[in-house]
Amino acid sequence: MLSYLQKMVLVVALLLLTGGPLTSAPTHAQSSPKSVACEQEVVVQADDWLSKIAEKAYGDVLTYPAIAEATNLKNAEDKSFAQIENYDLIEVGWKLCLPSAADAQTLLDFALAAPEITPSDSAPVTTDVGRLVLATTTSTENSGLLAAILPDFEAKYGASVEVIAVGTGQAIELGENGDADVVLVHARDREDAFVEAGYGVNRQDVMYNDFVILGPETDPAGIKGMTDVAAALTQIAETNSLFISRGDDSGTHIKEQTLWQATSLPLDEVKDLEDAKKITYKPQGDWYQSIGQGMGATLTVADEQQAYTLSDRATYLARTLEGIDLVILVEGDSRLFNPYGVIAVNPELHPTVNAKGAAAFIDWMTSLETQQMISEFGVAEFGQPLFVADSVAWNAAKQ
Amino acid sequence: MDDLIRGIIQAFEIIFSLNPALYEVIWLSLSVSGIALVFSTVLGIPLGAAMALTRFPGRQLMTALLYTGMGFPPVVIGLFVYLMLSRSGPAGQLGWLFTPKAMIVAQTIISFPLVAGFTMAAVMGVDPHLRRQLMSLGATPWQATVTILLEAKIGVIVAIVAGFGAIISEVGAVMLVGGNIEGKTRVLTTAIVLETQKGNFDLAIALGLVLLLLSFLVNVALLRLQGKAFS
Amino acid sequence: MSTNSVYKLHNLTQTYNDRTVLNIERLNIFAGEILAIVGPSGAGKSTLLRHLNFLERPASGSLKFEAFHLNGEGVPLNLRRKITTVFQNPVLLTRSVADNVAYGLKLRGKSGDQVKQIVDDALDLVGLNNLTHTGARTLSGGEAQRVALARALVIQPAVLLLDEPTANLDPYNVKLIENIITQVNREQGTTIVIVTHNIFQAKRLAHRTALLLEGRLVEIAETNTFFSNPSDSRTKAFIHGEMVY
Ligand SMILES: Nc1ncnc2c1ncn2[C@@H]1O[C@H](COP(=O)(O)OP(=O)(O)O)[C@@H](O)[C@H]1O
Ligand SMILES: [Mg+2]
Repeated sequence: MLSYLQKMVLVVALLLLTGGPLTSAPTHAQSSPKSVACEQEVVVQADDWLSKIAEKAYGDVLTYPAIAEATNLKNAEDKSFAQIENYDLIEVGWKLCLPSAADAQTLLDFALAAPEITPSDSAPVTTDVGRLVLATTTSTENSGLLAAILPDFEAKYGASVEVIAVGTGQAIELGENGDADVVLVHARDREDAFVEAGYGVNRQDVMYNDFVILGPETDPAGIKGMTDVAAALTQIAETNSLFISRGDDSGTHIKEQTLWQATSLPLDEVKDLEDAKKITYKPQGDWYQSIGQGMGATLTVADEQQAYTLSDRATYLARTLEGIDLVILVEGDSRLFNPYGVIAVNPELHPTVNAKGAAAFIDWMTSLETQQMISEFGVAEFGQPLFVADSVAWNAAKQ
Repeated sequence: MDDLIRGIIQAFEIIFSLNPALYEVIWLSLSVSGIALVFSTVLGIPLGAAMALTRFPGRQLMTALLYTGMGFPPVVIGLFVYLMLSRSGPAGQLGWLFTPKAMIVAQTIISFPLVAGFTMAAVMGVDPHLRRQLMSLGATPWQATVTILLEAKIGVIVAIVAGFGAIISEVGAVMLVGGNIEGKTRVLTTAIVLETQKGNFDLAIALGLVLLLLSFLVNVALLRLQGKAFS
Repeated sequence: MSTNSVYKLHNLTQTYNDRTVLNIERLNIFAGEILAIVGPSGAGKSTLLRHLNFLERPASGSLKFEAFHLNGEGVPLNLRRKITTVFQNPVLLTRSVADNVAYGLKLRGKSGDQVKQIVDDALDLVGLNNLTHTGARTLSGGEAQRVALARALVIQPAVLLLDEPTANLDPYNVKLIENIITQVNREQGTTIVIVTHNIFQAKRLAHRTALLLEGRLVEIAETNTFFSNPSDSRTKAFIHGEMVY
């Protein structure tokens, strides 16, 4: 005799198999707010970032999606409000709607919740992708994200993905040489140059995470809680506090250089031995040590030396599980955000690359289902997501 | 293929560019491995000679340990040295981690069993009656030992060459305990890893060539010493 | 020839793996004599020479050299350096013939022209002056043996121990070496103990001859007496070639 529960399961399973009405019904239980009241209206100034405004209004940088959601909702009623398509892109003069803190929370829950997923989204495009070489930065691998989401791609597309986790520079070079089929990196300028030079095609936003300045609890430079990353770095330099740089030409290292450039410290400009146009910037002094290694090794060295360093949040959080004494001292400055892009290697340049696989991978990576997985990754372990989903489809679905 | 040819051409340009950073890396490689080799030679040759020439309790065990040491993965030695010198390790007070001292310690431990093991084999290959012969000619035990080592010179130099080859080309352990800090603990091998990861294959090849050239020159120098054994 | 004893052995034994290979009840060796030790192979002749050169530790018994009693401790270097052996199978160094001959002098801190002169003279004496700069490891057995003798002679030992020094030589060189032995003994008063298989050689060279059998000294006597009027029947058998070995 089957129990009631078992029968229900059978029925649901049958319905699913026959493509019955249940699957096409909205699975999205939470209804989106229809309208919102603006507690405050803000006009975007030069140098404003959504997260900066969010920080000012709510004291929390991560509330910026609420402002965007509210403004977009308002835009439906009143065109004087801006329509924000890309959270990273706001323009001077745009009018934004800042809801009350409570409304912001509701909007935030909505923004982070799953957008509606249509069945066509989950239907495999192709099932014989085969071997696919993915060149990516160490952060996606070290944080465990790839291990968590790739099995889904492999199952759906009959693929076997070989992950080469290296610095952004090498990942891009692997793409240029046709040694990889698809690259997933975070260094926007490099990515654009890669596509412009014809090495890559079909660049898509995937997600972003943020960087944090880590240091010892004793904080000899006294930067804890500072919100201006350039000021914090200046203070590290002025107190001659040991700072460990990855120095490996990775996305993180490139980001770190732009941060030093944002300070008014005198910087050494080191010309690349190979490519005179490529210049590495670094502050002067023995307190600055460049180790030319991945994020994991850099954290180890910084922890061991009780030094400051710049890390992406994901790798740092993952490392806290294994015991690390470094703490987050500076975070939230908009200059610390870090977008990831996925790019297919141009099959016209390298006919041997798995172009079909790369296309499938990019479709899958930016699909709502995968974006949902990205949004959820790390929440169970760290109480916060490690990456924020950011594909066009995802952002559109949320609006 | 293109990469390789272009790399080799550029390698020579880089080598002759007299770039101070490059020479700093070369100098550090040579000095760290050189000092480690001196230590492992000073420890390894007497130990190898003693193990070949004397009988003592536990000699078999020592031999087994030595042979194990010869085949020990350098990176495991690196890990061991790391744990010893780590802030929370027993020798953490020294503050040697991520300094050339740590690299010298690791490289000494890596090359010492090679030097000792090959020395032992070389000395054991010398006519066992030689010692008695030398004593009979009035040698002190020390003079006899030195003469036996000189007789085993070819093998002893091979021992030193093997020890040097193992450490100048080693990357895992020096990366772990040195940290590849620019201008401080960056040596040729770790620089090669770094440049490869950065996608700078040309520079990586240049550094690789420098490494090859250096080991070649050092080996030629050692073999010239060996050549004198026949004069 | 005086009758001062350089060596006095008493109940000296040597065992290998619990087997006694040498057991000398009493043996005195006189200063300035040539003593021949004969006996079949395996009798313990070479082992006895090693004891005389302090290259073995006796299992029991006593050995006195000049005024020195061998005890558990080391032998003073200056005493050790009065004695040298030309081994049955000499080991030469991987160096030139001249360097091999000079080795003992170098050990004693001598250097320069003085050494070169002594070495040249010694090589002249053994008839190898044409091989001075040859690598010693390329020599034939007979040549090696002569280099070994030259190497021993240059240090002017008080006691020269020879273990079958002419075993690998042709008759011409046997004669040459025998002449050197008598000459050194006569001119420098060197005490010589020569181990040989060859009873005729013993007869030609030695003042006294001893027979060693299975590690024991069967008979020791003036060479003439030893051969013409041996007191032990085993000696008789040995010198008549009737010994089964
Ligand atoms: N190192 C050794 N270990 C074991 N047995 C030995 C050793 N040296 C000599 N012997 C044995 O001692 C005996 C005497 O040897 P040896 O003195 O060389 O004889 P000889 O020189 O009279 O031919 C022989 O039986 C020989 O096998
Ligand atoms: Mg013998």
